Amino acid sequence: MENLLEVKDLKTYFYTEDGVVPAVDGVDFELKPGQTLGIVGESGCGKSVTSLSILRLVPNPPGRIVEGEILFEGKDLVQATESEMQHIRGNDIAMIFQEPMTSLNPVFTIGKQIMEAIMLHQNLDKNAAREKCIEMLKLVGIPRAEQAIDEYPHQFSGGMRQRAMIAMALSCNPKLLIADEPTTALDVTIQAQIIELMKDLKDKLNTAIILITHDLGVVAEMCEHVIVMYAGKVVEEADILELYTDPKHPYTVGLMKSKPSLDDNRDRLEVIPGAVPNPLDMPEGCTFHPRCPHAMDICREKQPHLINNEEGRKVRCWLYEKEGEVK
Amino acid sequence: MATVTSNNINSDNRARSSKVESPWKVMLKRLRRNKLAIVGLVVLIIMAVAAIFAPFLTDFGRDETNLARSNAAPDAEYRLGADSLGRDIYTRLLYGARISLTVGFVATGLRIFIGVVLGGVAGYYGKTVDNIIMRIADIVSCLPFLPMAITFVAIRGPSIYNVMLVLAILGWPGIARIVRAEILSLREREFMEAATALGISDFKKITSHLIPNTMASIIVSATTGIADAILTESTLSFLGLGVAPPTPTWGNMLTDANNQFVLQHRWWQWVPPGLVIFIAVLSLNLLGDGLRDALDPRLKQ
Amino acid sequence: MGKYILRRLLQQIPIMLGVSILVFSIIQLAPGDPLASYMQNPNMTIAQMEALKEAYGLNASPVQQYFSYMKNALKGEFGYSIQLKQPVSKLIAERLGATFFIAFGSLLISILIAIPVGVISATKQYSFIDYAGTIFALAGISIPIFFFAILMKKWFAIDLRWFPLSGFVSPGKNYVGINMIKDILNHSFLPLIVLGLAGAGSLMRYTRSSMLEVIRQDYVRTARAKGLKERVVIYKHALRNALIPVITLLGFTLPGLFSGAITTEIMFSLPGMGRLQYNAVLHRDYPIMMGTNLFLAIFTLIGNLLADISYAAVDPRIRLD
Repeated sequence: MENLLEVKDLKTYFYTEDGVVPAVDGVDFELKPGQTLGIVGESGCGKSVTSLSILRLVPNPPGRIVEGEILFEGKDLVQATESEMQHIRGNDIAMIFQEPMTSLNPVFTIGKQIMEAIMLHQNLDKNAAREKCIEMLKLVGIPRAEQAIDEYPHQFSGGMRQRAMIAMALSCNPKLLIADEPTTALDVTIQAQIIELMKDLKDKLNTAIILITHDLGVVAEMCEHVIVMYAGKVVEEADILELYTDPKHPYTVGLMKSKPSLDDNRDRLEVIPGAVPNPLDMPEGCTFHPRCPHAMDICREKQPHLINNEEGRKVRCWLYEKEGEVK
Repeated sequence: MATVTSNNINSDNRARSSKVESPWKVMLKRLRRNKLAIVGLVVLIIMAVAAIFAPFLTDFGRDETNLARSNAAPDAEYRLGADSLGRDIYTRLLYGARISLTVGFVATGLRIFIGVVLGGVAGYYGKTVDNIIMRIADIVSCLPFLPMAITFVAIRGPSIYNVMLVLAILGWPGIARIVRAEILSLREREFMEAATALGISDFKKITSHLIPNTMASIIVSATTGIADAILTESTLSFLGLGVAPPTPTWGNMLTDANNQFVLQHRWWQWVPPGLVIFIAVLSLNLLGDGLRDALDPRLKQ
Repeated sequence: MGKYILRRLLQQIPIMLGVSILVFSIIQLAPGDPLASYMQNPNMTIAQMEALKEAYGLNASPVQQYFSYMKNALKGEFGYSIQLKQPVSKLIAERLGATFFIAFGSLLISILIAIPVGVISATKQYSFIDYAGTIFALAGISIPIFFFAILMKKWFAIDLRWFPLSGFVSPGKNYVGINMIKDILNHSFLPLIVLGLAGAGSLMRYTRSSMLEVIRQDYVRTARAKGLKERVVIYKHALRNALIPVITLLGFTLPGLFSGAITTEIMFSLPGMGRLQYNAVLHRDYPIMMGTNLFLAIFTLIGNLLADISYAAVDPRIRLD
């Protein structure tokens, strides 16, 4: 099957007064229509910037895509004009954000904000857009949609706002939905509802989804394929089952271990020691080596490559690569 | 990430935090990079030095008249010409700087003192005390500024002290609101609970914890406050209600110049004082802007 | 909405009372006798003097004087001018028009300049327009209004002779209709420009910083992610939010606006409340000083109230409270 999206060697850097921050530093991945891809990593690993780069929404200045290609249906979005991007945003690719509390404009009604996208991309008049909007609000499970459409965001709870965001994002039947930590800011019970809703909608609408999260549980529920990012780079890529049963990269292993589970009886969770490196002062060699339990001499000196070690498995680690050997 | 229970992380964070610079250092670093603010600061320092050493920078006495040379145009003797009484305008600008800058600094100092005390008390004690002080602040900020200042000075008599007093009395609510708001947000934070747990008294808490934390906003507000004070002083003096002649201020030097003949034919009697006020106030505003940007974490990215 | 306005209106009453007490007390601080000018008249007898004192209510205690003043003020009577020998209310009423015209005309000019320039400055941060606008705004804030007025008079009235030097109408011409309007606009052009440009500075800076903050908000990113044109994102989604604090500021600038109007009236000899007040100060005419200050404070309160109402109109989060 033809790829819907191909990201090739994407580099998005931030030029701050303290130096250049390579937020995304050579990321590759691809996505087929209807597929769900998870991007996992700690905060600051570049997963959000990757998603913003796809829509070309990285604030500039200070951020800039310095290298790479983003092929959406064969068209390079990095080179696209602003008006071409405006046609794609909200229409072919839609996005929902982490903070439902601040992602909706407080001075416009929910309906107005959703109808705006519908009228823009689907050439519907006001009445038809309103019908469609109510239909979408019902679809995402907002009660009394006919009244809710005329309410303001502050009259909605966090979960309801995220439902409204989802309704807005899906209102133009996008081919790709990027969900950036859609459940992080919500209560646990609401999180489960939103995940259920997204799974449900995915089956109904067959939209491809990129789900960005630090929550491995959410990934397990929704995704077919997973990318693990660390310090602006992809460190591991695998199908969901393989990743769970057989994580390769020591960072992925650490992430798995630090996830609480009802099945085991450990007193305390294991953690990955240390913190995400300062992006202005990246360690030499493998960026993970200061925190890695298996760090070897070579890890401190040379960067490992993202190698294809088995069918569909990619990992960036010296444990799986011999020096001098090219992938 | 899931709950963190390891000690490793704490020790690691501590090691990292040693690299973090103090907020003041960061501020100075950022301020140094703002060229306009530095220009403002340099101009202000030059003006202050000129004011302090005025007698050494001129051969004339402050009020020395020479009627034979009244209204003289600038020449070798009178570098910036002479006024209608034959006084050297350059000399009077130097001495005028003393008054104008003093009024600006003292009035603002007084205003900050009142504002910090009242705002601090209101913010810390809350409830009735807060209510009373803030209602008074509301009332004072509703007073029309210049009309009230004119009224006050007219009743108490034009003098440098009354000008400073009225600036402070009418100006404190702004500072009080800043201090109160900062204290309200600060006292909710954890380190205040820690201070309570350690048995530190209320007064000590305010002076040693809260006031330093509000310093940044106060400094910014003070810088632009001095600018406003200098503007108001010059306006009052220009209107004949501020500092009375023969004591020169930049404002009252312009009083005589406000007629058609002088405007048309004797630029040296009105351009220099007006320009000096403008430059002084502009410099203060540039510095204030620079300080605000340097202290504003939102501009950090 | 109605309830909200009513509540805000009721909240202004104690503030108004406080203002009146404060102004009254300051005027009471005046040394000497308000009737001193009468005493210089050698034909005044002591009995006449006492009668005058009684008529002006000066024999009562300050507290009684305050209450009788306020009782009369509620009926629209603000006492008699000592110097001009006319009711203060009449003197003020005659001059309100000019002051309002100057204050609100210049406010309109400020808004029309400041908001577009502020928005462009923020969206094109560090561009030429941003720098030029910022310098212009700083200059507007830093120049004393009286000196700015002097400059404008020098250039446009004395050198170029495009506009009259002072006054509100051409003396002795008694224009009517369209000619009168033309005459007034011709006279008030310089004062309006002086005050309008000076006021645009702070408003522009405020619009710029408010806009800078708003364009970093998540909902602006959402608007862009929808595929809206940048123009719609800025002028519809961002500006509507950025104006909320600007409107509050407009309310707070009203006292400053009247201060500026007063300086301008004095500089251009316009028949407004500012000049009335200034002359009253020069002649120690306390009833006028009391009246003008009180009136200007009332306008300030009305301005704050208007700001509150427009605030509620643009921010839906206010309405429910």
